[in-house]
Amino acid sequence: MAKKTKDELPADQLTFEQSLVELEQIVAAMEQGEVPLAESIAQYERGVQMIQRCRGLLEQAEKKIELLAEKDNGKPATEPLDEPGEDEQE
Amino acid sequence: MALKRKPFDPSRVKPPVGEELFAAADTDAPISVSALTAMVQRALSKLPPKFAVAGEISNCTRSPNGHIYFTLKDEAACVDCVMWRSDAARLKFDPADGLAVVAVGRIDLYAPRGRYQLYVSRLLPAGRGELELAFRQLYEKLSKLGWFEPDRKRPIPRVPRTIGLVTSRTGAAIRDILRTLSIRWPIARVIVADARVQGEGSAESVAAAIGRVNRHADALGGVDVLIVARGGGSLEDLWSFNTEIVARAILDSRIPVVAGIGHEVDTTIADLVADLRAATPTAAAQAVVPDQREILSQLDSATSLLFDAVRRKLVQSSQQLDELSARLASSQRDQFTRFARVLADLGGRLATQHPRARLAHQLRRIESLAGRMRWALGQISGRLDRGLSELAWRLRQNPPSALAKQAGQRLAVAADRLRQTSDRLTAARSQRLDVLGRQLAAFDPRAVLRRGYSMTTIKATGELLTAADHVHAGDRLVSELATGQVESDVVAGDCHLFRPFEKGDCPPRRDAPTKGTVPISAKGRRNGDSPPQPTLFGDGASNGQEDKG
Repeated sequence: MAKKTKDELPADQLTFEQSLVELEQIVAAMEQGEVPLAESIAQYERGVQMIQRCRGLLEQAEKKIELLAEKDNGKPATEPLDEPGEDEQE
Repeated sequence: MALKRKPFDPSRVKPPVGEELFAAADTDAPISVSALTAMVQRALSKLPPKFAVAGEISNCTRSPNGHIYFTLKDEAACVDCVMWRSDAARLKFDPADGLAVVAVGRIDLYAPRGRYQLYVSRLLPAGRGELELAFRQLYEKLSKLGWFEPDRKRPIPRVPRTIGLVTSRTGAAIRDILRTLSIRWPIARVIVADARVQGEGSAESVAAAIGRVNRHADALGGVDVLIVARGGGSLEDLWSFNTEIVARAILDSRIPVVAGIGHEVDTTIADLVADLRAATPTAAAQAVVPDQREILSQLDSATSLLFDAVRRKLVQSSQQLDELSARLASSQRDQFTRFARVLADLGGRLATQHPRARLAHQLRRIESLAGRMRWALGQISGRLDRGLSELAWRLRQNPPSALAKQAGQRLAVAADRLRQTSDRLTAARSQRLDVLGRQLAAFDPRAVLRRGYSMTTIKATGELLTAADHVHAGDRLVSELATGQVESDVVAGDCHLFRPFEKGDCPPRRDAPTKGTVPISAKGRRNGDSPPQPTLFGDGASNGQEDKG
């Protein structure tokens, strides 16, 4: 994990998984307790950002279900798909 | 090609037509091969239209256009078989030599070769299910190709943003999957690629849907994981997932594939090729997303973990700070104490060197000396006092008047004795002087000279001449007479000529304390009042010299 480059990324540009991974690394590092004080405070702040980012992403929960189709020219086309409740075909 | 059922008994067979045909054989008129073949063909057509023949496949070949040719045999006989392409396409398994099968078809004659053959419409494995055999065959083939190898499997992302789903949009599987996803991980985007999941062409449809999602993944903003799913059904129903075409599509997928096909007991080839096998469609959905409730509780615990960690760090740091500052303070204190001690020591040493201190020190010494002196003086004066008082006491015991009287008496006695002694000594010395004066007069050489003797010396050396051989011709002699002296030169060293003294010729001495013929001064002192002098003879010699001059 290229932690340095990720540290440079603002929290709101991270995906959920990136935020989660970074959060886990921060927690692990802080539990080791071997980081200098200033760094541990910075990591704490970063960790809180990651937590907020993850919560924010979870709160955005909106169902995005699309049906993939292919046009005649071979380009993809998607249309929203309601959750199917029809009879199953087996 | 001989028919097995011989001999042919025409009496038992009563075909509706052809009675005259067999009758013709009785004639000697020849017939053509074609006519014979036609007769055989017509005879075969009297057989039942469909046989199910059990045997073992051998010499199996596949023509380029898809027809299958093989021989079906048992221990004693064999029959050629043909399976046209249209029938062969429906085969689930691969006919191979040695395979025990049941071939279903009709018997006919192939006129150009003059052979009868079994035209197979269906071929079934003997002893076990066709699908089972097919599954086993495909499994062995793909296993050899390494498609099931665990190290070929790709990891499934933990938190996918976009999930591809290949299944029937009207099936049971999609309902289960979407419900599970919405509960566990509602924020994921789901892209459904519809596929027929059973019946004719379903394998191709599934494979195409997998290919479609892969093809458009980038255009769709990336697809993190692909679920291939179908609800439970019979082995027949699930058959499309046991085909090589679906297996290859899964293998070729750039997106990791999770398979959720059938019920838990069902295992398909697709399951085995997929990167992750889930037992059911619901299990597949659970496998691709985390549970948001777990994640939320993890976030909660991470929040407190972070807080605890940073607080612990702060507490730890402030404890360290306290400890260090305490150590610093104590070390400074030690330093100060050390310095203070050194300073005090130096100050003390310096103070002793201060002039005033040295003065004081010397004053002290002086005082001590003075004290000792005073003490010593006291001792001395005490002694003196004691001495004085003793003296005084003694003085009192012997007053000066008594002493003076005593001393006067002692003095008178002493003066008396002195006078007597002095008188005695004077008389004795006078007598002695007289004697000595007389003796001295007798020794005066001049008295001898007056008697006619002379004393001769060698002038050059002053040597007193006592022997004739002491002089040589030419020597000058000086002869002292009673009055004056005569100088004479020696003419010859002859003893006869001048021989005033010979040994034994010396005149007899009257009393001679003197030795030899040393001239003695005649200056004798008769006066008896001079005390006896030890230097009497020395004086006499010098007197003699004086006399010569």
